[in-house]
Amino acid sequence: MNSANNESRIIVDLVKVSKTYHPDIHAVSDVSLSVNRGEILFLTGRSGAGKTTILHLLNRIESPDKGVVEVAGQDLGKLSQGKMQKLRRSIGVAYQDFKLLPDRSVAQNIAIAMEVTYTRPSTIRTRTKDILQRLGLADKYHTPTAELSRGEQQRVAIARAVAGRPQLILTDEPTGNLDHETTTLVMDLLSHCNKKGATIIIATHDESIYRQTDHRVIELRAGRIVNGNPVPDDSRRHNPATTEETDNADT
Amino acid sequence: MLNFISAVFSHTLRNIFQTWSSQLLTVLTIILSVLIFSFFYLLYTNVLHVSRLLDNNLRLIVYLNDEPGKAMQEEYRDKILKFDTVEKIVFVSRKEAFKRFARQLKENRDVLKDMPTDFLPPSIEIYPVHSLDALTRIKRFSDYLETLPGVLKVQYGREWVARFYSFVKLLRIVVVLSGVLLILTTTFVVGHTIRLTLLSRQRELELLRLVGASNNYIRMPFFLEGALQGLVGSAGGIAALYLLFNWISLRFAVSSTSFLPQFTFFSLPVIVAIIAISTLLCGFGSFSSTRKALRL
Repeated sequence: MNSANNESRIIVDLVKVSKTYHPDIHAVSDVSLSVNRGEILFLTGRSGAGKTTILHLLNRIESPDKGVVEVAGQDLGKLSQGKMQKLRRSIGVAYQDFKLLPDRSVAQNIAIAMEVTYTRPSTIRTRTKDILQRLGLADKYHTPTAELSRGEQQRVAIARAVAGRPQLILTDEPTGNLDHETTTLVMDLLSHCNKKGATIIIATHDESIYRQTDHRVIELRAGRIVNGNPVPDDSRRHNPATTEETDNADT
Repeated sequence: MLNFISAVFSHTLRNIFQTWSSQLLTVLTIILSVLIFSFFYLLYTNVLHVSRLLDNNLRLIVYLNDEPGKAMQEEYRDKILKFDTVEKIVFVSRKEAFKRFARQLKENRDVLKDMPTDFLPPSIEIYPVHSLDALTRIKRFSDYLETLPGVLKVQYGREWVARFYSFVKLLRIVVVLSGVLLILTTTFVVGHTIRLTLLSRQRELELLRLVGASNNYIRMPFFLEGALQGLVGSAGGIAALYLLFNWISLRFAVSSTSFLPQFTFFSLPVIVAIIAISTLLCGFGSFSSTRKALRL
């Protein structure tokens, strides 16, 4: 019973995962890492440490050469295409390349994440406005993303990642192009999502956002964990019952 | 479900507005193909109609050496029916033939005054079943009838039937070829346009995959896009043919060529069938092209 509880508590589980890029770049080497539901985890390290690769592995954008990647109890290596698509709908991602559609408006870019889950158009509009308000982009609702600054584009990518109320949010350098004030807005939004039950993994080298945090911080170097606890301690665990209740209330 | 439909429709409309120029080219190509196919098909159906009209007057006259008795008439009837089913068989005696001839001469019937009433040969009039097949089989029928005992000569519009038969055959080939053209156009051209659209929207498709869009969510708008192209293109093609048909009908009406039979346009079920088939062809052309391009 206890072991079953442990398993359902864990949302991300990497077991001895390795990934090598051609010709011989060891992006991730033998990494084991678990993340509890409702946790905020900071993946830190210099460029090339393997942070982005781990985020890519968690969404099966990349597949590991060795090891097992499990998300929400499902082994990504064994998931069918259909099941992976379903799982991706519950994972919000904001990568460094933003993946925005430049000819579409800010609202349209954010809406995509909700449209694939067939959310009602009225709900999409309300949520989009709310998130943009929180990120200080309310006046950019109709603006094509091509006309935005890098920092604004980054915030739109984060807005899209959280808009679908996913259970897992993966953000890669979410404050990379932001000033102190907007960094606070972004971190507040992520914290708000976390309080609502989302698990958040933040890959960053911006020390200011994790320096005084209570949350778990893991440092990577040359594809290996060199600092931090790869296994969560129970005090950081978010109550799954509370998470579920909050999720239901939201939808 | 309602949200799925609304999402798919809004995507489809967005796609169409974003790539309207290539959409227009595709629709024009479909209009042209449907116009070519339906033009020949209309010609073919009208020729069939004409053949049916002519067929009503078509008969084979088998002239006999001697007047057949009751038993002989039955024997002829059996042999004729053994070869083919026919609409009607009429035995015309020498006297009946004379009477008919006199009726045809009308006021000039006096010329027959001194003639014996049995100078014309007896004959059998065979009315084939009213169908184009009967018309095309008539030559073989005639050849068979000539082999029957006591037959002097078999008469029918031999040359005309042969030419008509060749014409119908040629028309049938043209209809089939234009049908193939229609299928090729709809599947290949529509598929190609959709593939180009896919290439130009690679970024969006990548994003859709990233946020977990299902295969149906990605493909349905393309299916609808193709189907819509087919619907508009085929309706346009039929409308263009109708205009052409009206123009031709008007031209013939002016020159008052009353000997020409009345041409008819497609019936509503045929129009609906052409539009429905084109729509489905275009839809599935784009659907399969999306499947290949996205490797879904």
